[in-house]
Amino acid sequence: MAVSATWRRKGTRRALFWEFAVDKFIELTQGDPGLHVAEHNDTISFIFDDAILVRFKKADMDLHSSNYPTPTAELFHEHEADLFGFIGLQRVEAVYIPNQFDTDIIWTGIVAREGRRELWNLELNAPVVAPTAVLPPPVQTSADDLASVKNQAKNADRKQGGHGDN
Amino acid sequence: MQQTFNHRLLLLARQYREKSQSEVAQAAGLNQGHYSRIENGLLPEGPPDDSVARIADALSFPVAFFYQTERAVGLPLSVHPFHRKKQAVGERVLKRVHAELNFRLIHLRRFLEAIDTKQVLPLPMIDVDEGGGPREVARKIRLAWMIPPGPVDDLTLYAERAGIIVVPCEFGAAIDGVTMTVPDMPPVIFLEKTTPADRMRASLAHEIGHVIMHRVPTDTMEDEAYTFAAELLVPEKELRRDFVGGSANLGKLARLKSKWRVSMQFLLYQGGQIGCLRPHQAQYLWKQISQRGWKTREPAETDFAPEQPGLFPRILKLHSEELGYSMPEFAKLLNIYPNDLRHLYGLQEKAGTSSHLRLLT
Repeated sequence: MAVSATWRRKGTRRALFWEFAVDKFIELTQGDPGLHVAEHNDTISFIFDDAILVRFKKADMDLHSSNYPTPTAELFHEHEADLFGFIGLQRVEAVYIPNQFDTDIIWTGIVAREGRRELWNLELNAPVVAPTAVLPPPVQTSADDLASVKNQAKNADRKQGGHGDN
Repeated sequence: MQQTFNHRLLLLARQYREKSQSEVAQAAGLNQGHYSRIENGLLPEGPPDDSVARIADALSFPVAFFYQTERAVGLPLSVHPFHRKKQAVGERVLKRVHAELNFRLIHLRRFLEAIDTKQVLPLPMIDVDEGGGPREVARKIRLAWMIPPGPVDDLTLYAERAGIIVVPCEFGAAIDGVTMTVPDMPPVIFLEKTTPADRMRASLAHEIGHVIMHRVPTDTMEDEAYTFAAELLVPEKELRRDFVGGSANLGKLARLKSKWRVSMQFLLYQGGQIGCLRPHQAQYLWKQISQRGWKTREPAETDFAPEQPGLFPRILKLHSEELGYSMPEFAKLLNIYPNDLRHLYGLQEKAGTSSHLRLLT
């Protein structure tokens, strides 16, 4: 039987990615008393300090994750609504954005939305700005310092002589 | 020493004035065949003084202009046009620009006889393939020039620190920038000064790409220079971060323009190239830009101040102020008349004195 060189369904890679990401996250956070892993029918969420509920999603550049619009899916970003039986939690998404070929991840972060409206986002792999000793800036040569007269006397002669016979 | 008539300069002078051989011959009161022989250097003894004087008068150049020893150089590898797709510039105009570039090089060589320039940043020649492609070459240049992450503060000054002379010009043609690299001089980038600041910056980055990556013409050199310019001005990774979140619309492009100081179209093109925008999003935004007439001129509210070259004006200023060149002396040095001096370099005599000049910006 011929074996395809790639997944036939685009969603396969993403589903596998989700499975591995969730597994890895559970492994890394094992024993963390502030984290509760909430398993649902066919998905999983993470609740931090009984205050924030996070789910893992793939998103596009607008930071919109896509779901088949079931009533439950629609409710995720309606914060007044109860969902999964956990009342009063702030619901956010931990998202990744793959490149157009799904060969690399170009952005990961946390996104909070209210309905379709994005409230805020936080990039997880942004360059860390740590306080460092202030280094002296490199010498900033101005354009005026880039040119100087070669030899005043020589130029005086040159000016007298000119470059033509007119 | 016997001076030799330089017929190649006559050809350039005629092309600079955008005149035909018959027009010049007629204005000079010469037989066209005789004029043609002079222009083609076919008179063994050189042209008679009287003919040269008449031609000089007809073309408004001093006689001495035609006895300079400088050799004409050919058109540069790339003449960066106004629009990517409109690469054709009329032949007559192109010849005039070619002549002007030659004059400017001759003049610059004269100026540099008296002036030392200093290079404080490296200007390597990097082969595109060996350098890992134009984006990678641009990243290397950002590192070599110690450009901090984010927008490039003053690209013109970086280029000048790397030994490139940036000369503002008015080509009067659909040309944004031209690079000339001749053996005995620093690389020179001529930039059209009447274009909006965003386009000038992009043209400069494009021309720097040619200086660094190209010595012989290739089919891909223009695309490579565009990609180089994109990465130099707006690094891919940083732009990607800016496109994340919110929806991509004209407002977002305008905000990013004020941050990166490149045109909205530049950002839109790059956003599409690096996959930050879906094809239908990009298409929609292009259509909106086109409908608003922003393709040739983006809205004035998004304008920012143009970068000003400093090195070339400094060279002129040193001649005028430290060496005390007056307008007639400048004209004599360059073998052109004051009218051309004013047109080419914006030099004007200060009111009430003939000994000092000022540069009009």
